[in-house]
Order: sequence, then structure tokens, then C-alpha cells
Amino acid sequence: MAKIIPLRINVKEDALLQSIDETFTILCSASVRESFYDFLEKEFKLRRDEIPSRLDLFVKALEKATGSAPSEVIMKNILKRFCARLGVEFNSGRYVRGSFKDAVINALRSP
Amino acid sequence: MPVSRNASRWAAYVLAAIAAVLIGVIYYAGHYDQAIQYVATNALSPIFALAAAMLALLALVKSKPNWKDRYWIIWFCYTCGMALWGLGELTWSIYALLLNVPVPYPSIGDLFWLAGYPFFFWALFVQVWPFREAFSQRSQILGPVSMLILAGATISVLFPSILATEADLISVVIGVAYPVFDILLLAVAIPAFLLFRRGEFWKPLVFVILGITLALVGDLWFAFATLDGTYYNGHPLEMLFFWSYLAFALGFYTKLKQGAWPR
Repeated sequence: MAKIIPLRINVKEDALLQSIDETFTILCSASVRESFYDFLEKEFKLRRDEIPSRLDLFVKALEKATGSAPSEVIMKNILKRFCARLGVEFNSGRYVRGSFKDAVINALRSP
Repeated sequence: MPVSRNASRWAAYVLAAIAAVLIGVIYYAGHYDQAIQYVATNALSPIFALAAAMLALLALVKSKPNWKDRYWIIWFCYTCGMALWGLGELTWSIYALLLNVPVPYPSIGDLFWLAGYPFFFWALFVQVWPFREAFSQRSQILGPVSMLILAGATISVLFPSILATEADLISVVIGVAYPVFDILLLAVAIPAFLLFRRGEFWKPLVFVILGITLALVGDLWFAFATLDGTYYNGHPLEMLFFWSYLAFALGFYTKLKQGAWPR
């Protein structure tokens, strides 16, 4: 009988990470994406796979790295892609600044 | 960030500040001895501009060439633009110091300067475009609005005077091209500066944008001063170009020294 290996990251969390990857690649570039993950690890001791469970730190790091207005654009785009992956409707007009963490947690907890 | 990297960055800031003050001293000294100022400023301008271009080239060579990478393209365009502006400065100095003749207008230097604009414009545009929705925020609207006011003022003052001159067509076209390019570039550079001024990632780019902005303000001032006949070789407005090259050099140096990111 094959040994069952438990998934370290569940499907929704993986969708979030892929949305982050995709957003950085599209808005900046693949090299910037990799550099951002280096920055997270070196400056904030935050690994890529820990992002879903440490969203506060991710938001803080993103703001430090890119500034307030660009980080909001990045977060909104991550959320848009994340919702699309989950099949949830994303209303960009109703997105409020600073609500990224709550919106992601709600989506992660949704059935 | 390692201490040595931080120290070298601060050393560069201090060096640039000293150079900026020295330029001010040279222009102040020009009130007493114009000959020394003439030689010093005409000799130093290509050195400053080409040193910035050299740093840009080193930073570009250090990163792996990739035409699909948005940020590699941005830095490539900045390097080309800086190199062309450096050649423009060199041409000006060759006329002024080696040939010892009044700089003709238009000259080959104008070709180099004008050729540099599209590279800077494209680099800024490529950088800003993905973040365009940030400009709908009230805090970011100041840049575009101030640019529209500046554009209106410049066009209404400069264009009638340029078009009224009896110069040949090429001179008029070049005379119009400079302020148009300046306004177009400033229209992207100032909002970009306001948008990206915070954030570790953009630090080298912000210095470069500051360099572009200083050069363009200097250029517009130059156009106005030439028109009202107050410009002379050694005019204090030239300090803006020196400071602009220093900002460029700092940006490229920061990029060269920055380790993990941005690449």
C-alpha cells in the first residue's frame, strides 16, 4: 500500500501562493519575484510557504519593499487572481485599502 | 543588509553631496573668475555624465541579459539614455574646449540629447504602466495635475517665441522638440517619483527618476533663459545638470551594489 504523504500546503493556500507568483511576474518580472522572496527570507525570516499563515508579516514586508500605493496595487491584484482561482467573484470596486488580510482569510475559510 | 554594503552606500551619498557642493562653489567662484569656471564646468560635465553612464553599464552587465524581463529592459533603456546624454555633454565640451568655438545650434550634441529621450521615456513608461491604477487615488493625482499646468504654461510661453524666430526649419523643429520631450518625460517622471519614492525596492530607480527630473527642469529653464537672452555659458542653471548626473550616478551605483534585490 502506498504511503500517504500529508500535503503541507492545502489547495487554497497553494492557490494564494500561485496568485502571488503570478502577480509579481505580471506587474514586475520573474526576477523581481524571486528577489522579493529572497528579501522576505533575509529581512523578515518569512519563507514563501509560510505566507498564508503569516499574512500580517507579508503585508508589512510588501509595504516596506514597494511603498504604500504600489503595495496596494499588488495586493489588489493578488486578491483578484486568488478569487479567480477559487471561483469566487471579486468586486474590485468594493475593495477597501488595508482589507487584504481579512479578504484573504475569509476566502481561505470559505467552504 | 551587511554593514560593509551599507557603509559603501553611505560613502557614495557623502561623496555625491561633497561633489554637489563643490559644483556650487565653482559656479559661485565664476563671479570672480569666469575663465576658470568656463574651463572647469565644460571639462567636468562630460566626466560626470559619462561616469554615470559607466556605472549604468557596469550595473547592466552584472545582471543577466533577458529581453523578456521587464526590469532588465528598464535598466537597459536607462543605460542607453544616459550614454547618449553623456555623448551630448562630450560633444558640447569638445566644441567649447578643444575646438574653442561657440557651440553651434543645432549640433551633433543635440542629436545625442534628443536620441536619449525615447529611452528614458520608455523605461519610465514600462515601470509605471502596471501600477497605473494607483494614480486614481487622490494622493497620487497631484503629479499629473501639476504636469498639465506646467505643460500649459510652457507651451503658451515658449512656442510662440520659437515659432516667431527666423531660424531654419531644422532649428525650429529641434527648438520645439526639446520642450515637448521635456514635458512628456516629466509627465511620467514626476508621478513615477511620487509613486515610488517610498519602498526599498525602488531606491535605485528613484535616484534615476530624480536625475531625469532635475535634468528636465534645467532644460526647461535653459529654454526660457535662452529665449529671454539671459543665458550665458556658465549660468547657474547648469548646476541642475551636474546634480542630475550625480543623482543618476547614485542610482546606478545603488543598483550595482544592491545584493539580493532588486536584481
